[in-house]
Amino acid sequence: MSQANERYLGFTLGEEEYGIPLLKVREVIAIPEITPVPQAPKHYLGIMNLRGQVISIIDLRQKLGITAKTGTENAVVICDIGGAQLGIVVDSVNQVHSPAPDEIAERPDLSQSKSAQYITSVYRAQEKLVLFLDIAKTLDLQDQSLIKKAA
Amino acid sequence: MDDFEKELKIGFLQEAEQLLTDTEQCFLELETNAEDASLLEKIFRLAHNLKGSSKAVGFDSMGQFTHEFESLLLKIKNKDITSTTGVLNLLLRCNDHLKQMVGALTADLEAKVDSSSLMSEIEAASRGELVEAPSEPEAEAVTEPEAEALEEAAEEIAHQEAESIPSADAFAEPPADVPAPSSNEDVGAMLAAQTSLSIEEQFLRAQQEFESKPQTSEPTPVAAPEPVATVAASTPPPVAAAAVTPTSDTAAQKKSTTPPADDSIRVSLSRLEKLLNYVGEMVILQSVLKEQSGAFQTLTLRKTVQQLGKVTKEVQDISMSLRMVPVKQTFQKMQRIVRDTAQMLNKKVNLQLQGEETELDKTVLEHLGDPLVHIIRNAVDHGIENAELRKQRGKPEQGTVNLRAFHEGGRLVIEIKDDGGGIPGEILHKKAIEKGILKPGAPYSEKEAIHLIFHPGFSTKSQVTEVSGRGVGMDVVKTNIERLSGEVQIQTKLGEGTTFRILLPLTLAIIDGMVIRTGKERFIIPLGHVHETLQASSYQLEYATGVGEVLNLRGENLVVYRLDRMVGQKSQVEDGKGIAIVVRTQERPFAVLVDDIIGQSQIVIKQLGTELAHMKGYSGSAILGDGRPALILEVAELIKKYDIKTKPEPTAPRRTA
Repeated sequence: MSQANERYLGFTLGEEEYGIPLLKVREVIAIPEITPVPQAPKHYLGIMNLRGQVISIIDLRQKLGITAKTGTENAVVICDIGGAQLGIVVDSVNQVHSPAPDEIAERPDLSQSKSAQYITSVYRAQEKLVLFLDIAKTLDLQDQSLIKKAA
Repeated sequence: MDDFEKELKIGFLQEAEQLLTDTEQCFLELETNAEDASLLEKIFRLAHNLKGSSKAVGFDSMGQFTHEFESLLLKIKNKDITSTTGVLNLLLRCNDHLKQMVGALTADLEAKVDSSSLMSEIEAASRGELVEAPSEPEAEAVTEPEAEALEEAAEEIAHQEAESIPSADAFAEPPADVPAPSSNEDVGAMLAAQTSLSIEEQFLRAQQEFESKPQTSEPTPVAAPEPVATVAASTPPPVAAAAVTPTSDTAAQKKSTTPPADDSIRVSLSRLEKLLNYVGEMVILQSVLKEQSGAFQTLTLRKTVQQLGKVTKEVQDISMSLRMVPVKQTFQKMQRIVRDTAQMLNKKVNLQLQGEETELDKTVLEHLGDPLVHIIRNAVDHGIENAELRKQRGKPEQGTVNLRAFHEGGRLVIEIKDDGGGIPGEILHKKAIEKGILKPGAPYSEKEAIHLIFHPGFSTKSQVTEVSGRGVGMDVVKTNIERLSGEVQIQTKLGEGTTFRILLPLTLAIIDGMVIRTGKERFIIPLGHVHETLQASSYQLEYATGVGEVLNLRGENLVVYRLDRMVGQKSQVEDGKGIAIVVRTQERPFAVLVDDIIGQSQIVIKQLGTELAHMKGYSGSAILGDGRPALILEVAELIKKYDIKTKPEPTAPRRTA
């Protein structure tokens, strides 16, 4: 085998399973103390101090319109997006998926939901569907237009 | 190309850029002071350095071009041709061309830039055939007969040459990097190897070589097809002996111009940035430690923490100063802008520079260039009147723009002052109504009217010219300066001139901040924005319809904004018991009501991510002593947003009551 399968970090948002490329993940931390930013969009939780760096924290569930599970332990996944770091609040971090290329399917075209456009592909892991997210697309572009509207 | 060679070339290009900036400066000075021989000397030396090094590192085309350039300079220096405006323009264009070359080569070390057209122009100029109208005809007249005589002599020599030298090629390639012979002996030695020529010929050649090498554009008979050009401008034979002196002079000077070894090194900015980041973190850790150590105060611990605080401060100060560079280079670029703009508009404008040595953070300085260009162009275009009008107004024909940098109260001030016509507030106001920016009949102050120039798309010029009038400029100035957390102030007096003041923080990395609390959250307000703080309870807050709450401070009515409402917090103090922070912007003063002031400290600014870049009102964030981040408020921006949200007519000018 010349090329290893690309690996994804799987996590739960509400009842759904999502994944992002593992290479984009810096670390996973417990929910830190967050300083809110007034007048920011709803899914923008605020800023935190990660060893001297100020990092924005985003609630992906708000962003994708998913109802959060109550009573579950939350975690923050620190991602690397275009050189900048960003924290994403998720319900729980599950496992690392390593699907073979033929196990990944294109995203189903039917979905009309808001979140569909951020999904790059899907993977069926043990009877559970894992949606792979394009993190940069989910956060960057969309947010800026939202923030512009809010401002 | 091996790495060493590459490194050499890159090093050279960096050096060349600096050299070219220097030469440009000299040319511009030369224009005002054509008689200054030392200036010419300096330019000549700079060009010579450039030639030498470009050849040494293997940029042959550049070497060739600089050689031509140098030859032309030499002729000006020796007064063979006079430095008219035309010649100076050519020189400046050469300089630009060299800059282009350097630019192209920096991008691609193998780049080729065609310089043949400029080279032929230089050649023409060295023959005194510059067609552009000379500004000093008398001077031209003197040189002409001389040139003619020279031409004759040249033809004669060329004629002899053509007849008597069958193997011109043998001589045609003197080593280019051999230094100019400094005495006749050298010339002799150089030629000794060439035995195929007769002694007479050798002498003739030696003399010719000697004369032409340091002084003309064609040092060698390669130029056989154009022998006239070669010799025409060189010193005629009788003066040959005299020519020895300047030659050896230059040689001596060449040695002395090697700058004395400087005890400095170049460090890449990214490394410096890293260092500063860590220093910033250290400052934070130190303040955390200080706060935490309060709990267990042993004497040694207290002492050590104190000591650490001192050392940290020192380290911070020093590392901050590493980023500081003098404004000189940026200022000098403005000379050229003024010159070109003035020439295009047919105005006479003199730019005076002051405080060029004032130092400023490099990143701040980088972003300052564009705004400065805009303001200065505007000053020359809109500010300075044409010569006639100036005469009528009893001003000297030549306008003056004064560019000055100095420190004032912990901030750097850059002042651009012109002695032009001033900004006519009334006309601006009319125009604004025409364009629908302001409502007719709405009250306005002179000050507000003048600030209209910062309005995007606003221009009083009916026609867009190459220089200005698109209405973009001043808007850009304002946004750029504000992005640097600076401020632009204008003072203008009709008929007497306008002064722009750009106030900038000395550095973007660290500021003095006031930590305040409203509701449960803490925020930071840059200390530079805080004019004074008041115990709100000792003042009466009054409510005025259409304005909101007003606080009377020593007879002045300040509009009060409640920070808790603006940031979605709920004040935890009894109404009217908080602290009012008075902020004075150029536009108007106002007060912000907060719960409490927690303290003042040096704040290391952490930029917010791009996700928040579009949110106005926050200029960044910082980590406080307990390790939690807090937002740095841009109060003036924040209230603007608040104004728009709550007031029905956002475009109506706000009254300060």
